[in-house]
Amino acid sequence: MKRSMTFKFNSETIATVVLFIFLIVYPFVSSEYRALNMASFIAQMIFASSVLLIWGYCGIFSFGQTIFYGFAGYTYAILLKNLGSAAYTPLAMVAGIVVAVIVALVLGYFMFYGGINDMFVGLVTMCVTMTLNTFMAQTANEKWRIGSAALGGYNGINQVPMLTIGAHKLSGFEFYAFVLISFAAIFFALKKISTTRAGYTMIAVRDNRHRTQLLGYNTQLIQVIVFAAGAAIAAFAGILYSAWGNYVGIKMFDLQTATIPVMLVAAGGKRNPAAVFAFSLLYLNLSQRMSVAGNQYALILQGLLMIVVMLFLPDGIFGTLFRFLDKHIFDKLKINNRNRERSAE
Amino acid sequence: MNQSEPILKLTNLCKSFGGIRAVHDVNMEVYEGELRCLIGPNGAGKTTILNLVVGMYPPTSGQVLYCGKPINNEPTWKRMNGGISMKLQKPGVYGTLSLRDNIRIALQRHVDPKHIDDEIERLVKMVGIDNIGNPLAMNMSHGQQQWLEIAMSIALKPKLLLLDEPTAGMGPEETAYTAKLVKDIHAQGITIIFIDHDMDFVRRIAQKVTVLHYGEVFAEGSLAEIENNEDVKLIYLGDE
Repeated sequence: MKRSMTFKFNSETIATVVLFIFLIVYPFVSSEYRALNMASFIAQMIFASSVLLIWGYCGIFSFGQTIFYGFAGYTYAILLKNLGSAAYTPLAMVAGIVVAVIVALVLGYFMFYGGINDMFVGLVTMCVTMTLNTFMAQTANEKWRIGSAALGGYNGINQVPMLTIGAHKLSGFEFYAFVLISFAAIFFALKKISTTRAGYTMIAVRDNRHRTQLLGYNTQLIQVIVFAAGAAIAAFAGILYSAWGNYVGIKMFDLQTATIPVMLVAAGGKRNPAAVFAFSLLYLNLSQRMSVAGNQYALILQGLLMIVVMLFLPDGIFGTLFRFLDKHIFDKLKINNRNRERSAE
Repeated sequence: MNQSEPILKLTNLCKSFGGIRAVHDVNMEVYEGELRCLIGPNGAGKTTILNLVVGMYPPTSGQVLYCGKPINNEPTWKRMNGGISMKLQKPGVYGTLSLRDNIRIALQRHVDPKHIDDEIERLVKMVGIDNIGNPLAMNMSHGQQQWLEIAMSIALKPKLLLLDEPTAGMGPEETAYTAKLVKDIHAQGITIIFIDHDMDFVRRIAQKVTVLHYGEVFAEGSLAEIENNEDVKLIYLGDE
């Protein structure tokens, strides 16, 4: 029988319900400032979902989602600076995503049709990230401008307009709602896709690329398409970040920013969206609190988590926890229920 | 395709890996409806030839012609869509997916979603793994994985099926069952080229045998001719 999207009574379902209840209730019990802060975490979770799609579902390990995150953020900012009106934010958003997808298609074509796979994709994308970071860092000179938007080097581009729909600027709570609805749409799309033909195809490419070619699938084309889809999600996250902070800068292209979504997916549990997002919410909160004491503590935590996960927990921290709970609690409950029903008959 | 044309023709086919000559100047013709066996000692180039046919790597020189058309420059996926299918030497199944999901992936591009469940059940029954539930492929026995992979290969409805050691790791009963399975598949009109070291299995099903040695075609003929060939006995079959 084909896998269905119906939610089973297990730890993943409970985590999903708890996560969404928390996120829906949160703005009602917190200030606008805290809601905006949480919105930035949700944007990071959207960023992580781009890695979840390409890596968790299709086996493409990329250290370069920041390429599209940054390209989209800068495109959004530059376009709005040139158009001179926040009313164009939907257009700028679309343009940012389109630019990122085009970059992904070009990069993906050369990588996958050139035979680059597995960890080498990570290396190539990391190199592109570092190259972009280095390039953007030296754009402080006034000559580095696109139309009326100076790139600004380390200073970046300030006063990036907030998201606006028509003439209405999305303020704190409204912005939070927009980000949450977007995240929910992406989350449920990821859940749904795993039960579709596209989902099976991605899993086939992930699990055994050679066998998948021998079944007549053009695996390189599939990888390029999935890579571009991941880029679109990363681009959207980059635009949300720019609109949230009213700012874009070269930090969007740096290695630490590139590492975070990879770490969230690896440490969460890359084959389980609920595990990834539940872990992400906890980690981002904790990381922010630790950063108050000093950025190095958050970095140490990040590094330690990666070491622990790589060495001991390949299914991720929450992924492993969910499996443990399912095996020792939920599966036993199901068996007991079934036995009770049989005895009743 | 012209009936007098072979379905597969290898012309002066060579493949070297660095300084190592794996296949050298192989000429071979396989006609539609044949059940051909490739035998030879380890390292003779048997698997390399099958890999060259499916396009896993390009030949160093020579040509692979399928249905009269040269396919040297065609990628693997295109050759598979043209009617070639292969079962690998080491079972190439999706370990983390269930038995039925493995076959689903093979079928989903060719079968209407309304009928796919029925077609999965038909194939599962055909290869004899319908009585083991729906386990994850990695939890199936080696023999069951081999049969699963055969089911996936024939799901593509190929004209030419390549089987690389379909009985590797199997006991006598499983081997006998596999022989019957391959004959049933062949009876559907599929041309089959297989590699195997189990001469009992070869005797049960092979119509024609090609013997490879050090990357070259050493001998070719009916099974009886090959078994009576003194030189073949020397290099491979041994004295009985």
